[in-house]
Amino acid sequence: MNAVVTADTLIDAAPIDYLILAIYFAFVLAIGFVARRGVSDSIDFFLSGRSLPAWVTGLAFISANLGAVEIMGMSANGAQIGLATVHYFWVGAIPAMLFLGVVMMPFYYGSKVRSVPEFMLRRFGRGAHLVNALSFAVAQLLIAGVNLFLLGSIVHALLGWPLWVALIVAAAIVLSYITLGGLSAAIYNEVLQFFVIVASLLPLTLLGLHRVGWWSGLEERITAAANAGAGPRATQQLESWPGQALSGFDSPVLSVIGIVFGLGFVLSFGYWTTNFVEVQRAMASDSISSARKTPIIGAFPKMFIPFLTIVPGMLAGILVVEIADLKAGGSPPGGSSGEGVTYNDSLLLLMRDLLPNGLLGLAITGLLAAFMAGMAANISAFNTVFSYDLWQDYVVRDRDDHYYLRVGRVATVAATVIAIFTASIAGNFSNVMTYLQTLFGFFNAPLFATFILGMFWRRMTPAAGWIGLVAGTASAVAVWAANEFGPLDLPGQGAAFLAASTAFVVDVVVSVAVSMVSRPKPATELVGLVYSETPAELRTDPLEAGYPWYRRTVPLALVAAVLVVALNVTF
Amino acid sequence: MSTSQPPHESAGRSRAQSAAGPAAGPSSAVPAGRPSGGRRTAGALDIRNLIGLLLAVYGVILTAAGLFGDPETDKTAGVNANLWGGVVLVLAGLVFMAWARLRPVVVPQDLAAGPREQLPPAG
Repeated sequence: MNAVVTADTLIDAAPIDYLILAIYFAFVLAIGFVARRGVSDSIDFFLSGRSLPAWVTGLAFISANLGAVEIMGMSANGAQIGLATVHYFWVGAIPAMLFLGVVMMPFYYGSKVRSVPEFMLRRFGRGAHLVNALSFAVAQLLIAGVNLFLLGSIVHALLGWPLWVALIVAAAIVLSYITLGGLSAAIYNEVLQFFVIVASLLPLTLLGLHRVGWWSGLEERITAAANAGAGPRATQQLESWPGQALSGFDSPVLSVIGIVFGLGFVLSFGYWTTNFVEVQRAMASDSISSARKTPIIGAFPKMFIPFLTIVPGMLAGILVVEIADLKAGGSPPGGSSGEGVTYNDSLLLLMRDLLPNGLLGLAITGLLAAFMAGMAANISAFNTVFSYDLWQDYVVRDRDDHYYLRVGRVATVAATVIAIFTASIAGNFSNVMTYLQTLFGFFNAPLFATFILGMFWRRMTPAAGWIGLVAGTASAVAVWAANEFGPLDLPGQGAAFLAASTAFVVDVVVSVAVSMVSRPKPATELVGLVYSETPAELRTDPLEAGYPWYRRTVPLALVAAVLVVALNVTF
Repeated sequence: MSTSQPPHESAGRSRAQSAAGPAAGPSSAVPAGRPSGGRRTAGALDIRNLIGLLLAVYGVILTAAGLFGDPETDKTAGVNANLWGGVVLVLAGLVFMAWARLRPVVVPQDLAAGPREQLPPAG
């Protein structure tokens, strides 16, 4: 580690910045404390799991996802490849969110399934349950590592400590945040955090645009830099389609197919429809109608978040000397890892260059809050699946609740320690987005295939459930390995799209083949789990027909769909 | 807000107790002597009040920094970003508090008695 770099800090924080940070954590801990003590039954009411209005769950839904991935990953992508990154939102998120709300949510809400492994257990039995619980636990540990890595890099940027020290300290902070009960008020915190992040990213974006001369100035500067050899060609950086810089395919046609099928269908539907960290937010709403509207209301802010994450990334590519240098092919020293600037540093460096002390503190607070909440959610999801789905079902059965609660505590500490190691894996990727998409390809794409097939095809058998999952994940890993070490060579995130698409297709084919030769479950065991076996009363809200149009699910979804098409055409 | 929806089970790992029904939550004791009619508002803990308070506090701090601190206009190309950001945050905070005041969330008595372990055990 370079002594010169670690001696001074990337960001110069003043007392006012620390004051803003301290106020936030005091606030969050106070909410956690009140929630844990049960002092107020109003808070009980909000947290009781069936009482939140749709706008709150909608924001929590977006905010649960507005973590490391969104903020650092998307700005890194924006700096590296430009506007094509918007596909992660307008192709890779909105359609899946609308689908979740209109088609799948009534089903989740009605069938009362609370986690992916639980669905697997009820639909397919033991085999799929074990496979899924194991892969879910591993995925959570790896993703927690990403959050921890980004958290550590901010601590490093703030205080100048070596990254490994920063990682350990950050892990200790998250552990205390979880144990102090911050998590029991998670939805409150997520909504608060959403506003803090917007309040810091909005001025950052506006100031940056002001400095370059607004949109036309940004276009001119990017074009000039691209002509001088920095990054992909200017037209690719400034137009969202066909997005070759994103997919890594040379052919525009293949690129569009890769984005629409790989990202838009498999990865994004896989992520949004089976990610129970987010689906749980909708479960907390007051009615089936609100549950369905949760992802749809979330879709509206989600549409405009790229302007707050990708645009700052693009601005960093021009305004930040180090990122401009990196883009032009240089390798500037320093950065949050202390071992050279990477695209992951874009946002931090832009904050350093644009925000006065005060707003800087707000921005740091928003980032720290997002990554801590993200990691805490991963750790707690791991903890739940490990102690109840794995330990209780397969290792030590039939003990009292206190025993499993203790197992859960040990699992929390162990997961935090493991995350320190998975964080160093994440640190090896110069763009965390590529890493995350690779992970989603391994875990979410086959899961989505099994989920959707199992939900709509009652003939699918228990054996097909677990064999399909194993085959899907194995094929995604094979594609990744072929790209990493073997014959394939796709830059950008094309390899992740290809791996995900392969996993999906292999899973479907294997599941269908296995189903043909094995015994399905009797129809009576599939009520509430398979679409055709579930009566419509379990899936609809009788009151909704009486609401005005802006409170009904389908009209809202249509408005969102029209808006997102308009955005795609404009950019 | 609908009160006729049948309450579904808590989101915790309630496999073992799923037959216990909606009224069996651990914190189901509602203090006696509530206002009649089973309706009261969420009050200061309404999330809109919390959002409003946090944004307004930040707004005041930033406004003060903008007025009395160094505006660092070399970074912002001439804009007093703290001042503007602060004023907007104060206004946004007030809007949230006004919203909570004008359209209070009503806590129905029967719902307030529900179980609250909707998140997994915190470790």
